[in-house]
Amino acid sequence: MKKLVLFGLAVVLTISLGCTKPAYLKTPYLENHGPRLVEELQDVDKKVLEVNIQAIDDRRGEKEVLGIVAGRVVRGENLTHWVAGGFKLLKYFGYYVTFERDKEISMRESINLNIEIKTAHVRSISTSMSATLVLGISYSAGGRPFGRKVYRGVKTDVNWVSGESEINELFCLALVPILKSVTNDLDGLYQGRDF
Amino acid sequence: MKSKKRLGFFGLLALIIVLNGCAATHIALKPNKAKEITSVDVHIGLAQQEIYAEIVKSKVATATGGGLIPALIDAGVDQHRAKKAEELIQPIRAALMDYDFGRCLTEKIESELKSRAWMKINNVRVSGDISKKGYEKAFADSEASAILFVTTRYFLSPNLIVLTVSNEAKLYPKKGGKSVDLRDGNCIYKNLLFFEDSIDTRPSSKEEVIHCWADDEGFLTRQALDAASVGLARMIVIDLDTSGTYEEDRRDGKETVIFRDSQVKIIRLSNGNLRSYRSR
Repeated sequence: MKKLVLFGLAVVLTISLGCTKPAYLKTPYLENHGPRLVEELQDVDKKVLEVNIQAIDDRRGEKEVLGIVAGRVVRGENLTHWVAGGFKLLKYFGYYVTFERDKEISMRESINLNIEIKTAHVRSISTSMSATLVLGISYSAGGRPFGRKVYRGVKTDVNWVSGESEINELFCLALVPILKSVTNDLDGLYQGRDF
Repeated sequence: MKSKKRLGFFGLLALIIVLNGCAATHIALKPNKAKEITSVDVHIGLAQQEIYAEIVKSKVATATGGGLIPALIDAGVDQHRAKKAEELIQPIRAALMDYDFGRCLTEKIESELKSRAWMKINNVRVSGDISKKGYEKAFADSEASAILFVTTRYFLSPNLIVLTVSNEAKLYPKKGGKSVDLRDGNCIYKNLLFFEDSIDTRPSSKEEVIHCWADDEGFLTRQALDAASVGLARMIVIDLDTSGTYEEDRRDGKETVIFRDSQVKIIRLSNGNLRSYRSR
């Protein structure tokens, strides 16, 4: 019994110490776990098309700190890299993504995206936590602009231990509805529908 | 026996004094301390990037005396309420997409405080890191003789009718050397400064209230937040002015209106905190 109590105390102490360090938004987490999160939304019979991301600009005022979760600072300095990693998941929705800033008009025109990160934040709400991502995306092809839209993704979930993995998963899940909406709009553009 | 009783009495008295000091939300800036300050950096801590709505927290565990299952019920109920609150507030957030409250607050505080030479303001900056380490780093990096930390939150009440901007202001002198000690005992000024605004009409549903705040590109919300920036800057000036400019007729420690202009009205509460409202 004594050993069990000591073991329990050691676990609680370890978790507490871990929770005082900042948590970081990590692109490798997105790359490793993202496919699992979008698995149910895939259309495996869809023909693969191409989409090119010309630029991802971080327009946030506060770029270093994404928020505080149960007293733990969440940092996201390199958010453009993370968003780029997130948009690579569009391949599971039938879009192969390239990142070429000055893509020339080719025989096979792809739609170009210019992404602006407008806001990204996370916060505690009692025993839950909520992550929000807002991206502004401009669409064009062959130099012709189609238009611009603002996409917002929000995910609220129970905060179990304020763990870094938990927080990363929350942001991944906040990105998923954005990817789904972008896919719908890309489908429409490729089918010649009005934007 | 007598000496033990006496010891116990003084021990209890000391505990009461210490606890009272710890609970105090207002420490007025004394003139002799103000004179020692040659320059001030203002560090605004704003951990949020968008407005949020508070929730009424579930209290099943409290009502039942505790336990794992009631705590789990509370967590589940709070998660549901948090999700609803985040969904409800989306139209206001969308309407305020191009409104940077942190930048507006910083600019207003900087212009208001720097226009008064006696405040000796060096720099005003805003940061999302409101952790103890974040503040300690800001303190260590500052070259001013004192740092004013203003920790700010802005939110709607659970019924969405009242918009509050709540600020905790603390002024710490830098005593030289590399030591960083931001305990309350070391601050020479401390106060809670509030701003409140509300919807004038009484809408029949939460969705209607949200429409009021979000309509016309969030006009009412922007108006309230702009007034909050003005109110906060004025409250800081009032509280740090030890010259007696703002005479307060505080009868029996009751609430008193101590400032009013075309933009804001400021009231000193009985506990010394300041509350401001938009002038109507």
